[in-house]
Amino acid sequence: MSVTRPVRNPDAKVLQGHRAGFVSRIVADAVDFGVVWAIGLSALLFAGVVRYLLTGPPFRIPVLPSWLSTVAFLSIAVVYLAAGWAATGRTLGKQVAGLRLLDHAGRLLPLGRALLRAAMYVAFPAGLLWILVSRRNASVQDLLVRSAVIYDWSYRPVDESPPSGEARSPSPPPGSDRP
Amino acid sequence: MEEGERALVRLPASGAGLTPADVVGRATRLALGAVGLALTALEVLLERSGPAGPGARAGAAGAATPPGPPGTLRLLPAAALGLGLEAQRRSLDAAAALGARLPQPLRVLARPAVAAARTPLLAAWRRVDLDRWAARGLADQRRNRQLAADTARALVGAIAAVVLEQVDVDAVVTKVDLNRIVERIDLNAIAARIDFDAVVARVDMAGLTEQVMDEVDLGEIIRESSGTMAAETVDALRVQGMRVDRLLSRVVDRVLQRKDERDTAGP
Repeated sequence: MSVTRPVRNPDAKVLQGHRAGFVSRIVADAVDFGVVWAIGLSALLFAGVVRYLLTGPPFRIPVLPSWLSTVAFLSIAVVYLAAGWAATGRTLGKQVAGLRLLDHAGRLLPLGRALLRAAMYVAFPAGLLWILVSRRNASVQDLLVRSAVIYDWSYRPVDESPPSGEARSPSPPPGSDRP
Repeated sequence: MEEGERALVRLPASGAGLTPADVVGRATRLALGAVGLALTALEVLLERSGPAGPGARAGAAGAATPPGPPGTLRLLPAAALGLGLEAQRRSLDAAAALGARLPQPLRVLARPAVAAARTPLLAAWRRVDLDRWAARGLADQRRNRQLAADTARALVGAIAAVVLEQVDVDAVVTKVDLNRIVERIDLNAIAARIDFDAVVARVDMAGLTEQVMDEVDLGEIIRESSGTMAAETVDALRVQGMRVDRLLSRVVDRVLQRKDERDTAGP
């Protein structure tokens, strides 16, 4: 999918750089959840193939204990989310949803803070619900780590200043004058 | 002998010095030459009329000579010429032998007549050179055959040209029922006889494919089409997410009885 095209939708164009709402972030997190699940399944398949090559038939997917499966899944999720946020500010889910994670200064999150934020999300996903009531669309993790998730459809090199012109404008989002 | 050869090649303009045997021999040669020419011409005509069918061919051959294969027919002029020369030679020999076998008294009586006849006969015999005659006859035959062939060819061409001038080809074509002709053509049989494998083998499929691929940037087309479709889908998803975001925020704010809009400006 190309993200280098100019944003044609007027509403979306105005909202670039603004903090994203609850639904968009849930969509991104749902996609990320599927990606993490696919990574975990691929790891199990890979382990099964390796065991098959070493010990011979029959081919079986390893069945881990529940606690180990949970720990492995959460670990994969933390690493995946933190790596995506620290590298480009977006995971695959945020790429699909057109979001980007930045710190309070508009820069990419450092790896340590990204790991901390990812661990907090994995440990307490319900922190996302705070977006619904937050005046700045911030989750609990955002408040703790001082991060923000914005609408950002554009491709941007890592060391470039993140938000677009509209994002820095103090103008309220479209529809704010509506009753 | 040199004198005799020249006499054979070039006939004297007048009859001075000719014996009865010379006259007979020359008349025979002329007749045989004419027969050879006729047979050669007939052979050429029969060969040209061959495709007309066996009936017509047998009728034309039966009018002059017995029907036979072209090889036999081709030998007839030479055989006739050779036969005539041999008959002439034997007649001269017989005349000389007759005079030698007469009894002495009769030989004495007949000597003047035999001598009168033998002198020109011996002179004619000395002039007869069979090899030369054969070569001359064959050469004449070749010339006659070539002449007849050229004549027939020119005649056929002239006749064909005249016929074509008289024929309205367009009218003939309009009368032809091409549909019936096409119906009689078994295209399946024709197609079955075509060696498509050989045709395909002669086609440079790799080069052709490469040319086509050079002309058509298939990868770019796929990238553009699939990329456009995916981008439009993602854009629609994102826009819908934004709208639902705003709607949900407004609902929550209304429930919380907030008067101010949210400050969603990014960092």
